[in-house]
Amino acid sequence: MQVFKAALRTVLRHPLYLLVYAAFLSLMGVFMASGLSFGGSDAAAFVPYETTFSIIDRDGSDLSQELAAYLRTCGIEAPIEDTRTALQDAVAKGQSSYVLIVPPGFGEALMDAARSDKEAPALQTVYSYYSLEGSLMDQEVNEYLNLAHAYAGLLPHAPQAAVAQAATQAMGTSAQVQTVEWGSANAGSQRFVFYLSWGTYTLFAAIIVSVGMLMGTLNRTDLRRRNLVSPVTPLKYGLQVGAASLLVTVGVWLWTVGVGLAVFHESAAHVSGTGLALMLASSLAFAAIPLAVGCLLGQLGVGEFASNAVGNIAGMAVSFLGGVWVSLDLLDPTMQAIAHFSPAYWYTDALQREADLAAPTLDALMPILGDLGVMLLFAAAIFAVALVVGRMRAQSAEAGGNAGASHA
Amino acid sequence: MFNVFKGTLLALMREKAIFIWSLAFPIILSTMFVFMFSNLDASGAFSPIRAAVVADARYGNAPAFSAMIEALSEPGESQMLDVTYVASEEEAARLMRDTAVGESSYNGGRNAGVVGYFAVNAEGEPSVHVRGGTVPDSADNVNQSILKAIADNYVRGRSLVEDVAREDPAALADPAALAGMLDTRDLTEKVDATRNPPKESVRYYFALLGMAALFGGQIGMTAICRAQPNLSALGARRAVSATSRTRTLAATLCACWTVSFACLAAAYAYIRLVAGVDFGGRDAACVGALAAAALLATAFGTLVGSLPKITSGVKSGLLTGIVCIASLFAGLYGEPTMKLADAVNATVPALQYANPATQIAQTFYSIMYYDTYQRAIEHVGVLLAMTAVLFAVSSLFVRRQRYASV
Repeated sequence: MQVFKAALRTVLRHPLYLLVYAAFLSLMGVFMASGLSFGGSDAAAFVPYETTFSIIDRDGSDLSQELAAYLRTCGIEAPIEDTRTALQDAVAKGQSSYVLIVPPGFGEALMDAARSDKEAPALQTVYSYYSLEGSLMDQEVNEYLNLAHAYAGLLPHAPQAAVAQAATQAMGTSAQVQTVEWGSANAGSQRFVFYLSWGTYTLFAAIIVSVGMLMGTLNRTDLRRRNLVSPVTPLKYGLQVGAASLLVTVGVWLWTVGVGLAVFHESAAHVSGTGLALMLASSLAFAAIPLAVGCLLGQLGVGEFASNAVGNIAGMAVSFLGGVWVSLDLLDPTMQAIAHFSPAYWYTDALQREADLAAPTLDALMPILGDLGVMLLFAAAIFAVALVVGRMRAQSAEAGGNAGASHA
Repeated sequence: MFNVFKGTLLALMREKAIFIWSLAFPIILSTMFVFMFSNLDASGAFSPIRAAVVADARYGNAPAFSAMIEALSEPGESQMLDVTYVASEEEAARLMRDTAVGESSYNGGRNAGVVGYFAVNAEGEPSVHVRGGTVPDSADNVNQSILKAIADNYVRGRSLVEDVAREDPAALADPAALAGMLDTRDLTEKVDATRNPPKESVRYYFALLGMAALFGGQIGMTAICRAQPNLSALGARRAVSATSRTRTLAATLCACWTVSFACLAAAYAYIRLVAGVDFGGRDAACVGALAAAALLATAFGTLVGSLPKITSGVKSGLLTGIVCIASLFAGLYGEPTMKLADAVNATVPALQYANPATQIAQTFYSIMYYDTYQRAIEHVGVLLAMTAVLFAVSSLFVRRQRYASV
């Protein structure tokens, strides 16, 4: 057990890595999953999208004020100053998706145009990153102005205030909206699913860095030479190092899923018992992959600094290929094909299927077991490479193995 | 002093591990971004909304509504709808169900599915039927809202006619004049307010440059650890050399800045030329911003490197952790974090001034989007102020230290 204890002490002597990668990244996942919007129930009433908008009202007429008041009922206003810098700030930093500029005299000009067959004046609009959101707000603005224009033309003696109020009143009329239930994914569980998907980064970074450091430390040439002449057999030595690595992996996994279950227990409650058990099993199977990568790095003799970098960068790349950063639908087909070669793809696929699992039928379970199998194959393949590398390294001249003996 | 500079520069160049963070990391991540965000700008852009229309007898009896749908479906710049006509509501619902799962998701999704349909009820009024369970902030939700706005528009037109009929029935006497008044006019005009059109994908490259710059702090940290007598044998030897400590540190920091700046410049060139990100033709200003960011990174690395009683491994972990946190609030980790960063910055704007990654990203924003360099200069000023504070705090740890044993 001495080797096992020494290996664990190596990891515990660097608590900052566990703090940064296991604790901090998990909390980051909690933070993000808590702040995101997920789909509601199929049967939930439709809630229109609320665009963030700004209005620069240089007119101050009854019409412009009523228009601004109406827009506040269908969007979220982000007030801005009437300066070019503030306008650029709002657009460039995405503070406002749609800015409406009402020039002086617009209200009167619209009334005149409606009553004298003149060309109606147009309002200037500025869109930010998402023209889709801007288009929605633009639709509302155009509808309001068209109604006001029509009222002004059809009721030629009505004052501007009455026209504006009539337009606002007409805008209060809505078409009937019905929600169609279509048996979509279990929306209530999506927050927990997102948290576990984000866990690809947490597990990869934390386990690779910790196990890589543990293995790297014990595989230092001089230390290895000393251990080789100790009374502990190589098999026992290897098993103890393996057990310590496994314990670190299980510890990080337990922490990750424990935080998720503690914070998102309401979301997890939407998953069936079998589904939840399989989600945890998938998470553990996925954790075996960074364990194998950590072993490989250790066998390659990669140092602490490089393990840290590889863990972090590989964690980012793997979580990206699992569709955590951006939906895989958005990637081009080549990238979607490449994602199939990433374990996170199979992991996130398994999580979604498990979250939607209503009854453990063979048809429902087979794809999940397939995903689990692929993940375990990834782990086995990388571990096999680690064993070969370890063997070659042990026999190398540098490590004093057979190659060294032949040189002597 | 020049020899110290040259020696440190050579020593840093031979330390391959620091180039993982400073050079390989931004290049790998920007390569990932090229694939990740290639379709992002298109997903947020408006394209005709795919919708179904139940073309039954009721629809045939509502000619004004069908004319409106046809007008909105006409190909051209103002096309709003991409309509599929179906015979029954069941068929329309089936068309919605056939839309692939996942096209409405928390982190984007393709703006392409059939998310709703129009039908006309027994009273001749149009109604909208939308697919349930849509993610509130998704493109699908915006598309459904636009479908609702289109149906609202028709209903409101009818409401207007009824109102006018109550107020002044004579106003409706001339059908041609009424039709002219109810014609839909485009009463808005889209204009550009920024020097370059805003692009969502570019924001991630700005955040990436912020993270890459801060990871350049590893260079300063490594060099300072080697200059500290209690942290390395080399530092102990350098402490008893003929060159004064101030000159040694100044030359060391200059070498760190040079390496850090060179790595950032190489990463910038990769993003600019290989990833094809256009920074608005202000490359000289961007290089100036990189120089300021490299200086800040050097100061940051100096502070972490000079912390007493901590091993270099722990310092490396500490630096990584701080950079990851700072990058989170600069919105680096995909769409969910960008939204989170926007929300946090809107709620507590003061936090931006404490986050160097955000400040670096915003310096690039300012260069790309503003007419003048005023905002960019302000952000560079904040970066330099942060640098001064970090150097000042570091100096407390590196100056006038007494060691019981080196």
